[in-house]
Amino acid sequence: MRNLLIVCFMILLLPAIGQSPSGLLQEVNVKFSTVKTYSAGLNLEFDIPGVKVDPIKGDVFYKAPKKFRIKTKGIIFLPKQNPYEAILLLSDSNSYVAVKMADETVSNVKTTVINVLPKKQADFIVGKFWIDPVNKLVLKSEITTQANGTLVTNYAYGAMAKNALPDKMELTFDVAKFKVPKAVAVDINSKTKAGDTKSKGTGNVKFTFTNYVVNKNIDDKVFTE
Amino acid sequence: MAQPIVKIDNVYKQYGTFKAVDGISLTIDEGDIYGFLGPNGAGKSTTLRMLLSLIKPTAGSIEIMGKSLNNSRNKILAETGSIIEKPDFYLYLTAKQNLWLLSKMYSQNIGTKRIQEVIQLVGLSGRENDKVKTYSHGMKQRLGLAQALLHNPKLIILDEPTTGLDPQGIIELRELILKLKNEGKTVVLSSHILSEIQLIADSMVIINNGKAVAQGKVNSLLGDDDVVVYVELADTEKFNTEIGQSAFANSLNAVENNVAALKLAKQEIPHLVAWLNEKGIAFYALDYKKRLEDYFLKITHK
Amino acid sequence: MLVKLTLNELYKILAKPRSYIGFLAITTIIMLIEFALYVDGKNYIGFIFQALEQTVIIQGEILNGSLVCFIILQTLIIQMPLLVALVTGDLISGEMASGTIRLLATRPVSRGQILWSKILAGGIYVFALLFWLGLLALGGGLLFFGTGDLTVLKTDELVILRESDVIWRFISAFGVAFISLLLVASFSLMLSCFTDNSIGPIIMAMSVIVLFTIIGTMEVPLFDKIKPFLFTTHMVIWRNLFDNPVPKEMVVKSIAVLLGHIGLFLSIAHYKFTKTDIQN
Repeated sequence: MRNLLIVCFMILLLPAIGQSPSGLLQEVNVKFSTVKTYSAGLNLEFDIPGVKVDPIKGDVFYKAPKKFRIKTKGIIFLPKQNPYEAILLLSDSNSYVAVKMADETVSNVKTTVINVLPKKQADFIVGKFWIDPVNKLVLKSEITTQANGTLVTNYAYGAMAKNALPDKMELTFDVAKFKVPKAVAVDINSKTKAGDTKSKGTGNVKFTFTNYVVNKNIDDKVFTE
Repeated sequence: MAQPIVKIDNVYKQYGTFKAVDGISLTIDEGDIYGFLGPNGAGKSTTLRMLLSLIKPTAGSIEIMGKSLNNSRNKILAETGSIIEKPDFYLYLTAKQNLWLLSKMYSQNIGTKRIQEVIQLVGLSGRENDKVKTYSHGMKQRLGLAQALLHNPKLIILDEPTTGLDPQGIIELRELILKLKNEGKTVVLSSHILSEIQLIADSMVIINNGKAVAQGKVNSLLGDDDVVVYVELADTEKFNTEIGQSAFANSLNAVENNVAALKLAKQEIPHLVAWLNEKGIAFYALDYKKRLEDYFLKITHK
Repeated sequence: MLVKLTLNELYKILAKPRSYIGFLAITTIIMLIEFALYVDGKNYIGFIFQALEQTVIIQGEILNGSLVCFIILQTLIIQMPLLVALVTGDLISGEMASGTIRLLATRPVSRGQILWSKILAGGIYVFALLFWLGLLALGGGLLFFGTGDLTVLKTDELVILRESDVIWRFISAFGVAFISLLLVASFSLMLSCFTDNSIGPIIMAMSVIVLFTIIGTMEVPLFDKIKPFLFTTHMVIWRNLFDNPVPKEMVVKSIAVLLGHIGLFLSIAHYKFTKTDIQN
């Protein structure tokens, strides 16, 4: 999971080097590359079909190039999809082909939509990035893999936009239909209100970051504990 | 004059149409040994259970120690000890533990010293720490007495207390009851064994079919005026011929198996013997009984 | 006096081997469950979550003391009424059958006090049984499996309760389960007042609970109308304390129904026991 987040952040911060799709992606990459480490407080909210779980607070730690860790005192659900390899592809401009698709407005910001396709066969099938060309920030990404379907991420920035670090991030992903085996299930007699139980197989996790500390040394133990 | 300690006034106990107790009234004097006598199912136990408020009367009133049983049940039971029917205990506890538990049901402080005293009194010393399930019936009966005496009651109610006791045990129990009387306690006991009552009771009631058919002082109920004379005849035919014309004609109860039974006053026996000799009626033996058995049989079998 | 009498009743309960069956059964079952989960719990959890884990990563320890305690509670709730009835169903009828009721009823204490001392002792026994269950299930669970969020495995969804949100739920659940078991105790005790057969009330109480539970479980429209009136429907309300959010109105209503039943059963028991003639 940490890989997923690394990917997300790296995507956010890819510096756009020029107006060409690859150049724009590079500029975003460069912006984020100024961040060598960071830690932040984290609040996670979940909306997973078949799972009722309260928000939880925790901490998030990052160390370049690809160490990432979320620490919470409780159980959390995160998408299984690992877009990190796709990001590696993005950071290596020889491994993908970037194609500008259109301009779209995301959260009232005009964005450039760029599709990213791997040059070689990989689990990663296609990536789609909505990039704010002015601030060099990724506002939305959509990554599709063979194994785990599509992960859509929306980003919202605040004070840490200069480092391409989002204040909020919302991940939407496919979740397989799940049912607790009857043999182990508890039959609680509560009357479930219509619409309470999601029938669709899409999960949603919201990250809210606070108190970023950037480029201060983080012990490697944090990532191995 | 002795004060009445128990007054039962016109008490009924009815189950459906069956009257287990049918209008019994009696008075028991303080310090007496009072016998409830009757065949099985006569209503003795039901009456005694009513005295202990185990059974509620359908009608009538019971007064014990000058207090209404209805209104002062707990005060009365604090001064009453009892064994009803058979002595049942918590078999998984020892005798001492049983008594200890029961001692906690009184407001007065009954300590281990008193428990040990009653254990000794009933002759269970040395076995008090054995579980009751290892006890013989006789031992349980003794323990029953111990629990009845535990709180030093004024009134002791014993329902069939000799059941299951060996002859020695019966004698010891009789002695104990007399000892209790000497200590000023009132003992009410029931039995269907007549000699038990006869031997120790001051007063008695005979209950049959739920009714008190006779009651009073044992001595007066068993006076010499009312004996049964048994004559084992050698010549029954002649006796039957002569008796009709004799002064004893109305005294004859029955002649069965060559034994004639005549109801007489004790002082008439010499006249009977003289008459038999005079008429030349041979007989092998002559005996009379004024014992309670006869009286009991007469009342309950009439 | 009531305190002394209650202590007497507790003394008797403690002296009876039957009273320990419940503790033994609970200990054995809990040890078995905890041992099995300790040895093979990961596979067990893996089996339950295999479908979900195909698309979602679950970070954090699902198999922890809270879950173990919940699984134990869920498993043992079937046996608990039997273990309770085994003792409380015998409290009056056992004394009637053995004749020892005469020992009690001829003492200077009211019948009501005798009954209430038994009810209190029965209640304390139920509490002790439940406390033992809690100690082994929650204490043992936390000791061997550690703390953490509780994953409630409902038929239609998973409910994850945060660690800080769990203890009060367990305490409340034990409280509600205590009321439910008190109902079983008062029901069997009431039946116990109607017979001098020691085993009868135990079997009768269990039969009624099983029957009501079956009616409550069957998805038959006719039974749906009856279900709210069955006390067994409300006895499982402890589970709802692990719902999120807790359906407070439903829980309060069920507790009221349970307490109402307890009141009814004890009133009947009181009436019967104080009015009955002791014949044996």
